[in-house]
Amino acid sequence: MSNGRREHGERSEAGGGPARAGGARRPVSGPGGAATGSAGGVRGFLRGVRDLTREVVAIARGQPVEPIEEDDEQASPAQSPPPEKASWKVNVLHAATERLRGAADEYIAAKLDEIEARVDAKLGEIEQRIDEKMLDLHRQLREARDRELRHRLRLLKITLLFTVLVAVLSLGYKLAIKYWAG
Amino acid sequence: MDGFDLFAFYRTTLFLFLGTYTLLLTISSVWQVVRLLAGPERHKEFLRTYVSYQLLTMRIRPVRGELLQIAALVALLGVVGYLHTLV
Repeated sequence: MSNGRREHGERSEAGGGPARAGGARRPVSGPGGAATGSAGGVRGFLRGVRDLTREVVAIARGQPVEPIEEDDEQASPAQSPPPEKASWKVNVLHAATERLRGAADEYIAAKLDEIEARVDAKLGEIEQRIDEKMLDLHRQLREARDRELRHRLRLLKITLLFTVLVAVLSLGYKLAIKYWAG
Repeated sequence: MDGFDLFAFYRTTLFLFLGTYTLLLTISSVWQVVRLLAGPERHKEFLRTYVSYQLLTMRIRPVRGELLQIAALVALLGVVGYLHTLV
């Protein structure tokens, strides 16, 4: 919070600095200086906002903050902020950006871990169901094979049974013929 | 017509007919199985492996009763055939 307040104060200072500087130069500019000072104050405020935005974007991209090129007509020692204030502002913005980036990275990492855990659980469940289905299919095939084999063997047994019956009938016929023939 | 035995004719004809039918059916079935399993294709190789696995994992216990009955009938048929030679 203290950083925010200080940053806000810095922003207002950055916006109001040139206005005050323009106001201080008002007597020097002579008649019509009021209009010039007012325009310079608004322009300075806008330029301050633009510079601040550019610095935030540069820090968010991870690029070094380029020194702001001052216009020749408005570059004066009274308008440019002191170097220690600029570096302090950059440090504050850099710290805030890093904190935001770290929070976003942690959130994304947590979400990715959660999604990965869900996908792993779902894949494990699918794999288990496939294994169960394969075991069930294997059991059904084995039972069908045994059933088919038993059926074939039963047919072979019936065929053999009738063959033995015909052989016994043939043996009895031969015995009867031999008995009756004498 | 001396020496013609109708039952012996029926028995010999039945044996020839059924023997020929069984032989042809067996050869046809074996040929079909060979045609089904032969070939360099991937799925036929897998099928050969699967049939080999099924043959190797076949269990005697579920069909043990049927096999014992068949063995007894074959032995009985041999005994009856031997008795035919004695009469």
